[in-house]
Amino acid sequence: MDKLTLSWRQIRIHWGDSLLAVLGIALATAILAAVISLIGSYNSVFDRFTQQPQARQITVRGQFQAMGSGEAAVRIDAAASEPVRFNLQDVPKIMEDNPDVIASYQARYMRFTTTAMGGGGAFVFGGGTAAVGNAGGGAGQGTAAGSAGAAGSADGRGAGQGTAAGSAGAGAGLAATPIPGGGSGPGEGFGPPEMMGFGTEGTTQVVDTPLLEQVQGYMASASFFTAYELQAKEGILFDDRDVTQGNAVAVVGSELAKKLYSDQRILNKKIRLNGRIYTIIGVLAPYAYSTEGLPVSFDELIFVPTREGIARSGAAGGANATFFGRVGELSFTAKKGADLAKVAQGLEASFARLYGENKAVAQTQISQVKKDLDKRLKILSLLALLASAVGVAAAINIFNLMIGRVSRRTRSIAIQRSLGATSRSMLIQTLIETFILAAIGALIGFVLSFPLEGVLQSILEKSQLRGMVLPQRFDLALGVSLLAILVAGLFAVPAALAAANTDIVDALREE
Amino acid sequence: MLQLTNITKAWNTGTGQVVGLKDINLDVNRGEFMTIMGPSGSGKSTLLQIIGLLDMPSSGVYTIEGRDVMGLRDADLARIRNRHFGFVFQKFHLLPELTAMENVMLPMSYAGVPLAQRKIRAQELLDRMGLSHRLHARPTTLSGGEQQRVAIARSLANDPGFLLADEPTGNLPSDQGAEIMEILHQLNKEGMTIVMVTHDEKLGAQGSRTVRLKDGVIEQIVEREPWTN
Repeated sequence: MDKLTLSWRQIRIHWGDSLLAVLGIALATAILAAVISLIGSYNSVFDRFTQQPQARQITVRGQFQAMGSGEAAVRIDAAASEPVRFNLQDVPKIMEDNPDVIASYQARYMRFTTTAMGGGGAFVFGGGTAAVGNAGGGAGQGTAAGSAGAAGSADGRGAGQGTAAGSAGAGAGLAATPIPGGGSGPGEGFGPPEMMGFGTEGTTQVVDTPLLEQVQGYMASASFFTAYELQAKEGILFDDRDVTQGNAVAVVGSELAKKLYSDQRILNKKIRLNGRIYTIIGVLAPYAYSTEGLPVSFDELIFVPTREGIARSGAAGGANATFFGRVGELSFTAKKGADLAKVAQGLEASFARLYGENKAVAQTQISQVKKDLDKRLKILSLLALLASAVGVAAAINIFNLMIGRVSRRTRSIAIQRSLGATSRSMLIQTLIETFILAAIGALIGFVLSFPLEGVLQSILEKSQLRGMVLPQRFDLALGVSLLAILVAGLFAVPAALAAANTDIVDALREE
Repeated sequence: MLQLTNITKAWNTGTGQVVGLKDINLDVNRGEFMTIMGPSGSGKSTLLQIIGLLDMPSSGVYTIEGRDVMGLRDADLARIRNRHFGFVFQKFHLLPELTAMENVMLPMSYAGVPLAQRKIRAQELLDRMGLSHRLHARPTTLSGGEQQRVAIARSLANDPGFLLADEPTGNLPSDQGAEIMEILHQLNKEGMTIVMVTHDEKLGAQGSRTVRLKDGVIEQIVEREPWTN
């Protein structure tokens, strides 16, 4: 019984204003707990991000010339509105100037179509856009055999059949049609490899039709693997020579490798990516780090040598004919523990020496993510402010409520004192009553904070903080709830003191 | 024994000092039934409150069983009230939030009596007051007489030496009042010291000793044979 029972009874008797106080505390706790734990989640995600290789990437982009110095005259020249392009041959020197940089690479995030008639194929090779089902028909079938022009079209498949008669059989046309969901029944001719004429090489290659019509990945330099500490689990990674020679080789992420082919054997498979046929030479080991700040986990991606900056001199063909040309964007990887802002400054200085002032801007990946994060934190801080205001209102409500209760209850206090209660126990009893109210409110608030946090997160994440899986910060939500109880207790102290100092005789005399 | 020596109680008001009690010298002996009488404002309730340590005198010496209680801290005073005195008020002063039984248990909880014992004792006392059927009733559902009997049960909870009653029948119809007086006499017979404030001459005459106050001063002390019904 005692203090707890008495407090609980008093709360129940005055349930109307008790409820109001509880709701106030619940509301303030819910909002504040949701906001604070979301802030905490973002911060811990950011902390984790800073430990990952992706946090050490710095991208240098060429500026539009006309923007640099504001020279009006330059704008008139059409060429002047082109961005500055960097000569890849300058990279070794830039690396030398910046000892904290351990890798330099180009990378372009791509969506690849694996079907023969995909947009990319059609675009690259200028082929037709005949609908699926036309295979085997069409006037161009015979003439396109083995030629580059038909490689990306349905007609091309027909042509392939023609030149490789017998090997594909009747099902070959179906083999190249998109297979929704990746399944293929017997008789659809999935098994037999499709015979293709490959454009530029002018040779015929076998394509192993994958289960996925579309894959995503990077066209990148070989040092991309160094930059992100990616390693081969099976086979090998492509190297600089593959890049310079423009070899059609591909490396597949560990998860994608499981999904790409039904037989799970992936090495040496031929895959068509936007019309070009690549040989898969390696599978990556699962990414050893977490994926904060990445658009998609590397495990889900395919990697092929970049073709950007590779110019061909003279006639087509021949490895010796390629050389590094110019690119608009270069990425660099800083050493672990390096001061990233300083490295970015150093890179900008190197580029300025080579290309002139304000021609290149270096941006750290971390600053991008931080900017993303800061946007959210700003909104959340405002919400926290709002929640604090609600909290103050709830606390003032508790203050008023308890003062009111104690003043209405002086006789009851005096009776208890006459029965042997100490003034201290009256103080404690008032606080217990407050704590019960606050604890109920805080508990409701704690529980409500999670759905509320989900709502806030979904609103904030419309702009997508890439690859971030937010951890639930129960600890912070719990902390806020306990704080709410504590604050309510503090605001009840004046009432508790008033209860302790009640004059017994006066209170008993009162009507 | 309670011993009051030169007890004075005065209050400062805006216009000056008001004296409630002046130079009171009084002993309360174990086992007696003392009645305090006097007109309104004579200081009889103030005297009872000082005896029960609900109020402190402005000057004088007050000893309980030889121990000076004038300089004691709040916690010590609370303990003496809890163990040595039982209070019965004109308006019963039960806590409306608690049941009859819980009201009786309350002083025991301040004394640190374990819950199980509290329950047994409260039940016993209410049984004795003829309220065994109303253990879990809220005060508001009880008659005045029943409420006062709960209050008496509560005053006896910690088995005090002194029962202090301030107009215990003042709010009751005469038959219920008579019942309460009956209980008080019975308790007195069993050895309980009773100090009762009343303005009712008939009730006052039921005490073994009557102290008459006038303007805060003892006007007369009358001793008589113990009252028999």
